[in-house]
Parts: sequence; C-alpha cells; structure tokens
Amino acid sequence: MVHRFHLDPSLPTWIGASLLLAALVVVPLWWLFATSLRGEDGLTLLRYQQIFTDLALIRAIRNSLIISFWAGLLATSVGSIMGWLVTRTNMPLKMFFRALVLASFVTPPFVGAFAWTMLAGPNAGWFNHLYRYVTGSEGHLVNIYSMGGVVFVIFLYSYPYAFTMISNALDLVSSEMEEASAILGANRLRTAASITLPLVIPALLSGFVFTFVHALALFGVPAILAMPAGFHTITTQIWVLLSQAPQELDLVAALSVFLLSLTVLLLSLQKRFLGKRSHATIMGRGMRRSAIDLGYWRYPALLLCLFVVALAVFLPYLVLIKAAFSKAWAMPLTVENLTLENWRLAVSGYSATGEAIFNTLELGVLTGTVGAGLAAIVAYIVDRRLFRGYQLLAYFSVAPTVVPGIVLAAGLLMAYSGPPFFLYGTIWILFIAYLTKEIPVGYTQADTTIRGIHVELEEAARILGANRLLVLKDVTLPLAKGGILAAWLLMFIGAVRELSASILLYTSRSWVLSVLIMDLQAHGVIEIISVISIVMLCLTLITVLLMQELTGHDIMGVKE
Amino acid sequence: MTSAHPLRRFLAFVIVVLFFPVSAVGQEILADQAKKEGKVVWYTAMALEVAEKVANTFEKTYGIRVELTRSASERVVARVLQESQAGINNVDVIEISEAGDFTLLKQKGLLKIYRPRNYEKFPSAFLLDKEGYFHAWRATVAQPVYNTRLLPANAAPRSWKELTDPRWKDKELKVHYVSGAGTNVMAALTKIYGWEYYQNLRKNNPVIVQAASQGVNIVAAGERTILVEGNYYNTMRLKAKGNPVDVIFPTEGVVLVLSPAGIAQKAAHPNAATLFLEYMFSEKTQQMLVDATRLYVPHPNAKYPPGMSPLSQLKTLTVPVEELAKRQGEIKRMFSEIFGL
Repeated sequence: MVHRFHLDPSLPTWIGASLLLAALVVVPLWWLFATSLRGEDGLTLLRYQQIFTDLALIRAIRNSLIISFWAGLLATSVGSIMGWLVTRTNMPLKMFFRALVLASFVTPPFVGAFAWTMLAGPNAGWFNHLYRYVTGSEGHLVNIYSMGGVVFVIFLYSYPYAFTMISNALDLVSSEMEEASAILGANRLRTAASITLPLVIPALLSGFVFTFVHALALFGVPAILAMPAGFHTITTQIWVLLSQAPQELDLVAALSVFLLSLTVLLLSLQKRFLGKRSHATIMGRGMRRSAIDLGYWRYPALLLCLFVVALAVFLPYLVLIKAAFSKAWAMPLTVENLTLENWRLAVSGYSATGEAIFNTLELGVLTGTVGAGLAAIVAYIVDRRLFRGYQLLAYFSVAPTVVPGIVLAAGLLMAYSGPPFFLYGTIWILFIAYLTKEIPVGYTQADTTIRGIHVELEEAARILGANRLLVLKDVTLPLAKGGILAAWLLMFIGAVRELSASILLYTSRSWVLSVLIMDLQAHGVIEIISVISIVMLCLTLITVLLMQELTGHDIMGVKE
Repeated sequence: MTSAHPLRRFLAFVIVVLFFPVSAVGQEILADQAKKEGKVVWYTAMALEVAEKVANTFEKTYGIRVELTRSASERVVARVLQESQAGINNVDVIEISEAGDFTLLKQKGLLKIYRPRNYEKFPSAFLLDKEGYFHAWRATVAQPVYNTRLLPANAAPRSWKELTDPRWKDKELKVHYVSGAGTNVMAALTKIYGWEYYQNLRKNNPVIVQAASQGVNIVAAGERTILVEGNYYNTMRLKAKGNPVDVIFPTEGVVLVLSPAGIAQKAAHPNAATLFLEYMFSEKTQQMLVDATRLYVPHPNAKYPPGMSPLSQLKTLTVPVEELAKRQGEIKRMFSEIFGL
C-alpha cells in the first residue's frame, strides 16, 4: 500500500519552515556578535570596554535605565489599578474602558510623542498656553522635552500591557478568599490590599519587567523628545552612530549585544516570576463572582480612568486632527485658519507619501500572510511533536521577543548588505525584519488555536490516506481559521506601525509611513505629519475593528 | 532594463562628453539618453518644499522622474557611504549644505568630475573644488531668526555674542552638527570666540534640532523665540506665507553656507544625472531659486529682488572648505561634549 516512489511533500515543508525560522533568528544575531568582536587583527573586546568607559555611552545607558524604570513603574501601577477597576469593581462605564485601553494600545508611541509636542511643548503647547492664560505667569507648567516627558509618553502607551496582564490574572483569581475576608469583616479596600494584591504580585512583577523591556527598546519617543532636550538613550545612540559619517559598526554591534543581553536577563527574570504563579488559589475561570462595590469611590475611580485615556487618546487625537486641518497648528481654530491644503500637500506635494502608503500596506500584507503561514506550520509541528527537537522550534519562535527592533535591524544591516545577499536598499530587508519581529505574536496566537483542535479528526484523515500536509490544509486549517486570521491581523498591525527597525533599514527606494513621519519631523512640517499620522492611525484602527468583527475577540486578550 | 548596444552607448557617451558643454545638439542628445534612463535619484539637504519644486519643474521640462530623498547633510553623506560599502549604487546626484563632507566623498572616489556651463564666470566662492568634482549651486546665509510676535524688533539681539545672554534662557533653539548650517556657524563662531561661546550658550538650555528648516518652523509656531543658526531662505519663505518670523543681521557678520552638488561616480543614471545638474545650474533654475526661495546662486546673470542685498554687500564670515573638512572631527567632538548629544 505504501507508494515508495511517491515522495511525501510534508517532510520538506516541515524542514523548510524550521530552517527558515532558525535562519531568521540566528543570522542577524550571529552577525552582531561577530561584528562586535571584530578587531584590527583577530578578536577583540575593545568595543565592550568602550561601552563601559566612554562617558557619552555610559550616560545613554543610564538614561535608558532611568526612563525604563519609571515608565515601567508608572505603567504597571496605573495599568493594574485600571485593570482591577474594570474587571473587578462596579465602576460606572467600565465596559467602555476596554475599548479605550485598546485604542491606547494600538496608537504607535511615536505618534503619541509627536502629538504631545503640540500639547506640552513648553511655549506653544496647549497646556502651557492655558497655564499662562489662567495664571498670567510667563513660564511654563510642563515641558515634554525632558526626561519626565519621555517617561510620561512611554507610560501612556505601555500601561495597556500591564492592564491586560493584571486583568488576565484577576480573571483567574477565585473570589472565595475575597468573600471570606469580607465575611470576617474586612472592608473592601482592605480585602483588595491584603487578599487580592498578594495573589497578583507575580503578575505585577512580570508586568513591570515587560513594560520596562518595552521602554528600553523604544526608539521613536526618545528620538522625538529626548534628543531635542540634549540627551540620548541606548536606541537613539545606536541610530546616531549609524547615521553619521563614518559609521561605527563595531561599536553599534557591541552596544546592541549589550542591549540584547539586558533584555534577555530581564525577561528570564520575568519567567521566574511567572513560574511561581501556580498558586493554589489561582484557579480556573467560571467562578461565581460579584463585582466589588466601590461606594462613593466609584466616581474618583471613574475620573482616574477618564483622565488616563484622555491623556493617551482623546487629547492627542484631538490635537492631531486640529493640526491636520489648520494652516498653522499653533493658531486658534478660526475659519481663516481652516484648510484642506495639508491633505493635498501630503498626498501630492511629497513624492514619498504615495510610495510609503503602498510599501506599508504591501509589507503589512506580506508579513501577515507569510508570518501567519509560517507560524501555523511551526505551531503545528510543535503541538503535534512531529520530530525530535520540536522544543527548539518553539524556542526560536518566541526568541525575537527579547530582541529590540533596533538591535535586530543593526544585525540585518550587517548580514544582508554585502555578498551574497544584497537586500539592503529593497523592501525585502524590511520584510525580513517585520517577519522576525512579528513571529512571536503570530506563533503564540497559532499555538493557542492549534492546541484547541482535537487530534482525532486529523487521525481520521490520516487513516483515510491523506498525508500530513493535506491534513493540515483540509482539516486543521479550516478549524483554525479564526485563530489564524487573528494572527494575520496582529502581524499586519505590528508591521504597519513598526519604526525602530525600519529607521535603520529604509532607503529612498523603500519608504514606509512610520519612517516618513520621523523624517518629516526633522523638517518641522507639523501639519503634514499630522495628516500622515491620522492616515496611519485609521489604517490600524480599521484593522483592529475588522478583526474584532471577524473573530469576536479583543486583540489584547492575546497573552504575551 | 534598457539594453542599448554597448557600442552605441559608448558612442553616445563620447558624443556627449565631446560636444555637450558647447552645443545645443549635445544637450538634445543628452536629454534623449537621459530619458532612456528614465529617472534620476537625488539626495538633498534642501528644505523639502523647495526641493520638491525643483524636482517637479525638472520632471515637467524633461519628462524624467526625480526620486528625491531629503535628510540633514551629515545623514545624506552617511547614507551615501553606507550604500557604497554595501555595493548599492542608488544615488545619482548628491547635494548637501556642508562643503567639508564633499571633500570626504571626493577622497573616497565617490564623485565624478562635472563642470557646469559658464562655470568660469561663477564667483570664486562657489567654485569649491579646483579639479571640478563639486561646485556650490546655491548658498544661503546662516543668521539668527526670531519670532516677531514674541519679540519686538527693537528688543531682538543684535549680535551672535548676545545670544549667550541669560535673558534668552529656555527661549532658544540650536541646530545639531548633522546640519550644514550648524557646522558652518560653529566653525565660524569658534574662530572668533572659541568653544567658550558654546559653553555659555549651553547654559541657556537651547533645544537641539536636526535641521535649520525644522528650527525656523518651530520659531514660527512660537514654541521657541530665537533660532541661533537660522537661515535666510527658509525664514523668508515662511515670512512670505504670513508667519511671524524674521532674520537678524549680527554685527559680527552672517555665515555663508554653500551647498555643493556633484554626480556619484557609479551613478546608475549618469546621463540623467548630468542633465539634472545642467538644469540645476541653468540660468532659469537659478533665477527660480532666487525668486521663489531667496537663495543666493552662482549664476552671473541672476537678478536679486529689492530687499535682498547682494552677497558682495553683506558682511560674511566664511570658512574655507579645506578648513571645514579639517575641523569636522573637532566640531563633532566638542558639540557632543558640550550639548550631550
């Protein structure tokens, strides 16, 4: 019965997918290590020594750590308080907040930073105008071009991570202990502090580490807010070293390896916190649960939540829309100041805009399609344990999580801009970067989906003579459709808003929207940037809505 | 893509080289060859709006597409170097506002000799390279710029020196060395006042911007009152649109910032590049730069509008190109040391 001459196409597919995945992760990192050790003759540790002796580099590292610490702390505290309020209490309007937190989540941080320069620039910013108007003072209330400004903006767009982690953890905490505490006479706040809080401490710690690492890897926010104020972070320092003549590749490589090691270290710590999670009292869902009555505190709680989403979403979007339709953004919104000229200019005046929109969409679709396919195949191999070493594949699939975008890009730049691969200068190098960056998201999504599909159906098909590939195509995939679609959309969104890798990899032949925004930022054409930012936000928001419509679940529900 | 016979291409090349600078026929052949190449890739440090205008006019005249990338001068050079290391020959025409960097490109063998028509009649300040690898096709003067709504003209500072006055604390913008204006002014002012000048300026907490054009926009919006290294042409452009900005002519003199242009040695569209440079240096384009943007140009026939003093009547602080090239390392190092970037 066995067709010896008929080669089963499954095995080559598994092997091909595995090798592709391994290459995506290993090649750029290998180049970084190799370049960082490259000396005049033979190997050298000189570059690493330079990191710890060069005053400018030490300062950049210190700034990065300070910013990440405070942004992480702020994001975790505010994110978890909001998570608790929304999932556990009877705060009014709480259902709206899931959507609003989602809106903060999908807003690219550099767009937020840009909008905040209009809100809190020390002289022309809205807040400072208002402050001077009210108090009659000549000074300013807030200055976004500062360490505090960077921390604040990063916090605004990373608290949703903590929010999600805490909400997920709280969903799993049984309410029996809380009820017991209430029966014993403790008031609600005391219960929250002495029962609920200890139970979610692992989630809090892990939320902190995650937002810390997220802040460490950001490029756009410090580029817009820190550099004008005269200080660097590790990411902006890497960018500057690469964008001046002559480039210091070796030093960039060493700095990248350092940043990478830092993230690996922190995330392995996070894993240890999460490892301790299996607390006996954290049980499955389906627990009967009554919302905690906040009493009079409902309204201050609501105010806090409104305040945060106003800062993260309402005000920035408002100022962007206003600027996009004004002749001069800082002038009052009068009829004379209203114009559609910016929209015309953005589309027809700058030759790069059309190209950028096209490339961004093309890259988004390619990343989504190839990425979701690859993620599905790999998740299938891992979940069905198709061959030995499948654990290694699972490891490779999540490994890019620890690689900051700018580090990945530096590695790709070294790997693919010389023989035998001349990818620099094409959109393919961006594609590889996006694919690598988004694989963990796609894999996690695909893995959850495929795990949920019973093996029996597949076995039935196999008994009927189908090879594995056919089974995957005809049985597993149709069942996994919703999950794979979600993976596609998530990867699409990730690709559309990517900046920190793109900024090193783009050329005039491969513009994308995020880079265009950063580039125009350096010319100060604020009204035009606002137009392009709105286009980008719409693109993302429409995708998110489409996804919720199609799959019926919220993208933040995907656990990191 | 176009597979013209090598011999024909060679002949065309010979014809172009031999006859083009002197004959209109040469010009026609060049335009034909350029059209076959289809496009020209231009890396520039010019304000984007103006660059788009120059590119669009060329497209309309010759039907050849201009692919435009605009960055700060230093970044344009970094990009050209990076691409050449990677074996990518993307750029055809390079044009920045930092003559010193062009010396570096020339030394690396990345430029091709090109001499515009009538170049012997250009003012000598614009002829930057004796061997003919690059010439300035435009110039502006760098000078402080202020917001006229926040600061009445009689209260505005009158010299570079006054900008270090504590009165301007938290009110100033300074341009980074990646910009041509930034480097040129730093080179000129440190010759008079030494680096102490910038150490004092630092005490005023200036916000650092990447380009003079960005700085002028920020001053126009009122986010800051004074831009230390503004430039004339960007300010006049915004002023003409009704923005509250104006320039200051400091008593020490304004700094002449020359912007050289050259053709990449390995240009993928060499004829289109030559045609584009020919167009850039033509009387019509040069007059357009003066009229539309208030730039200074080398063309001897250019007429300056009333209100724009000819260069010869301005007190200028000019740093020779060799000196700029030599002092680049020092300027970068000292800037980073003082301003932390």
